[in-house]
Amino acid sequence: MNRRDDWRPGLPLRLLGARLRRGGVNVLDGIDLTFEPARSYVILGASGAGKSSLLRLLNRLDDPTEGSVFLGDDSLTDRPARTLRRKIGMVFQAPRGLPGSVAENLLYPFEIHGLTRPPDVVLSDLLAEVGLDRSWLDRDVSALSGGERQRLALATALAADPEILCLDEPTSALDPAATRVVVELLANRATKNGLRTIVVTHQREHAARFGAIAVVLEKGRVVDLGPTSEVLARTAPAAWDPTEPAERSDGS
Amino acid sequence: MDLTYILIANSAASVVAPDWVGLAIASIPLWLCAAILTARRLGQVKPLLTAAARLVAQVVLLGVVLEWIFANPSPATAIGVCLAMLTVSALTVGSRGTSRRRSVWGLRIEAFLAIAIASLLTMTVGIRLALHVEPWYTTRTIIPLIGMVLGNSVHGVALAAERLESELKADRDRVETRLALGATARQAALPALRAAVKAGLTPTINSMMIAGVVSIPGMMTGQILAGSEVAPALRYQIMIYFLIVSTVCLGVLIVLRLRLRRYFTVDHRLRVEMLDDRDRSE
Repeated sequence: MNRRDDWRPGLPLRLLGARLRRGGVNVLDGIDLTFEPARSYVILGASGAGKSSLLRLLNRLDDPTEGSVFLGDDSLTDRPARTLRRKIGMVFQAPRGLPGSVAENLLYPFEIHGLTRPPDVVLSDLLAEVGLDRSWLDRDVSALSGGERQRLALATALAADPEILCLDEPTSALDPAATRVVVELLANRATKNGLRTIVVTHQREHAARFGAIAVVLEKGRVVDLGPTSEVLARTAPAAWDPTEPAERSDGS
Repeated sequence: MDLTYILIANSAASVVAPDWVGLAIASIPLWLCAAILTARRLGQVKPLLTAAARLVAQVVLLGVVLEWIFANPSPATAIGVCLAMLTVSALTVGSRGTSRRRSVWGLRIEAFLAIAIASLLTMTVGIRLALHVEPWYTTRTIIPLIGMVLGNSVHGVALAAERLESELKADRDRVETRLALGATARQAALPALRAAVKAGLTPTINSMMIAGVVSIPGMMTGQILAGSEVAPALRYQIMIYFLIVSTVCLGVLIVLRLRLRRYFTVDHRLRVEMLDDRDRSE
């Protein structure tokens, strides 16, 4: 098998006619979309619109039933999935965390890729970066709250040093202060490390903070794409955000 | 069905075996139990008597078959009987509980392969190197031995395969979290594999732990009843345990390896449709 194991940063990620079929239903129905480098994206849409399924294609947890996903000129399937997943990370919605301590979770990417274990201070820095206590390395994951596990999952994904990070509802279990920490962290990483983020959310109020470009999905299709502020201005709020009051639903 | 009693049938000295009248007398406590269950309306009478009738019919039939097999030893007979036993063993895998999926046949084929490879290796060591059986197709020796080995292996392999699936289902999100971080299929499934190996080996390990302390193992009992000296009987018993546990272990390892290829793609992607109950019974 002749596959590219090298990684060249700064390549666009493109979906061409991507269709994903599950149980006789097109979960994604012919998606044509390009995630340009040096941009942050937010994917919006109601529950069941196909947002999470789209993210899974980018990390190759699923392959499209039809169509392709390209990184630069190469199909994602031309690269070893393991290298790809290290560079295109994924944080799931409501993660439980891996069994064991906080440190064991943070060390997992190093363990599976056969990398040297970093000193504890590096792990503590990761915890601090996501707004968790630096001294929690020995704490068992089962003792963490949902929001703390969500931030630990983000720290674990960052430990793998991805170039692109896909985040599925990353602040769904966080209070406003913790949400602010995560938003600032992603912005800082984008500036300092060139981290590109693709964030799924159905919370309208967070959309503008997570991505400059918004993609709106409806029934597995892209129905709007553009600068987030413009997309938000022309989309009926209650169309995909259940937290929006019903009386504002005609406010487009 | 315990085939051990026939192993030392030629040690005729001081053998005491029940005749048909003796067997009828031995069934009196069984009838008594059935009567109590009936009187107290506690149920289980029909299954109890059905099981007893099946036991008699099956064992008598087995006796007839074994008489013929032992009277006609040949490589073809030996291989044919072993393959038949192996096939029946593999067919029992996946026949219990939740396994209604169309892929149950895939599991049975994998179980057949796993047990076949494992038992071929261990039986070769046991029959050729440890017992020096000549010729190798001496059915009187190899059929009872492989019967014991298969009986235990199929149980271990079935338990391991079932546990792997249930662990992957229960921990699907964590398996995918590991994969998303760049883990291989094996790395992502390691906790599930550990649980499956434990499930597959525990009954045999427990049985070895208590052998000779809490229970007198079946083979040893059979040989002693058949008139054998205690020393060779215990050596036989130890050997058969070594063969059983290594066959179970190898069979479990092989079947898990084969199963993993079904649950994951070569690109380390979890085939969630394999774990989806909605795909069952199609």
